[in-house]
Amino acid sequence: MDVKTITQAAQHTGQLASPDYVAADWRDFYALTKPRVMSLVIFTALCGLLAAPGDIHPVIGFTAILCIALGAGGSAALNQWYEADIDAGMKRTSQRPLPAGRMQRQSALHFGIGLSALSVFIMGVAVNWLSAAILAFSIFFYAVVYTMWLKPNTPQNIVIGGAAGAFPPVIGWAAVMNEVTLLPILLFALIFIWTPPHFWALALFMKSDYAKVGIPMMPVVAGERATRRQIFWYSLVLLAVAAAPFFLGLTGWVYGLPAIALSLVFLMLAAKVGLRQESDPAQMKPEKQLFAFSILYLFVIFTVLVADRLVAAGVLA
Amino acid sequence: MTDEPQQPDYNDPETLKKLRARQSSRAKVMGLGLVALVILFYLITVVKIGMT
Repeated sequence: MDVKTITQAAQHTGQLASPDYVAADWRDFYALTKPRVMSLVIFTALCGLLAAPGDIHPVIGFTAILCIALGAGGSAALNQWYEADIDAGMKRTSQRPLPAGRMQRQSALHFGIGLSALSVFIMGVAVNWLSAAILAFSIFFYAVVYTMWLKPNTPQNIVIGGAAGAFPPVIGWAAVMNEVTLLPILLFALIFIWTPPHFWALALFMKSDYAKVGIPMMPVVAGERATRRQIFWYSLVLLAVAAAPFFLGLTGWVYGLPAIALSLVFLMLAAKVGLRQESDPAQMKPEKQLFAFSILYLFVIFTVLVADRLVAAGVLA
Repeated sequence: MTDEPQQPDYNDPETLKKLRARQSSRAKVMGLGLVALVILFYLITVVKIGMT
């Protein structure tokens, strides 16, 4: 099935429940911000902020992280506003506030725009305008470039769209330093390269869900074999990117050793997925393992990065 | 896609109770958010003045 056919099929797949005219609960607005995704965003942004070799007042640092969280929440709300009918067609997302009919679509739009604008404004006024500009661009990239343009039109959606999730450590760094140097760019690259194998592992065992709503995810369009191959190649590049800060002398052993070891485990799991030909989601244990490990990988690699910087700064013995 | 909101029966005491409960909880959360913003802006101002 080509991308165009899939996209056309996506137009009217989901059935939204009739919106409840009784005002939506505050918990539904909270759910619109995708709190679980936001936790990863906050974590990587905090790591970028802590890894930066500069000083920031705790109140300003807290404000920067809050703004990044609000911006991520705003763009998530805009994403759900735009994808309400697609979400309605997928089991995983059908109980979100809009497809479940617990909220009017316009409320989600206003909430998303309001939250995004507020986050950029506070970031600019309280922290600095460079981090505010990067935050604004990342919101635009996720809500418009990824959600409205890439996701429904190309199987490369995750590859290019992954950039949206890669901005938080750069913003955290820029909040402290008011500039962007090589290390935050490498952190950006790390998340950017990590995203495709992470999502494609999920897409392999959720393929039928994506196919049903017409999202041209790689396994749907290019097939499982090609996706498995790509997962392996991206994981190989990930090893190089993760090791780069150490080999370029930007970090020490505290980061270097665990980063290389974890990336090798990632590559090993990816190779296992790459060599398989299983198409029954119930039998996809290695794919689920890779997906679960990829989340742990990102958390640990950013934690050791911060530990490395704190050791270098003499904060940790 | 059905995007037309369904007008609930406001004469129904259950619906009215549900509406009031939601409005009340939303107002409380909104109030807390605004208080938090006021405190944050106050702290930011103090820090910024201290910096200069």
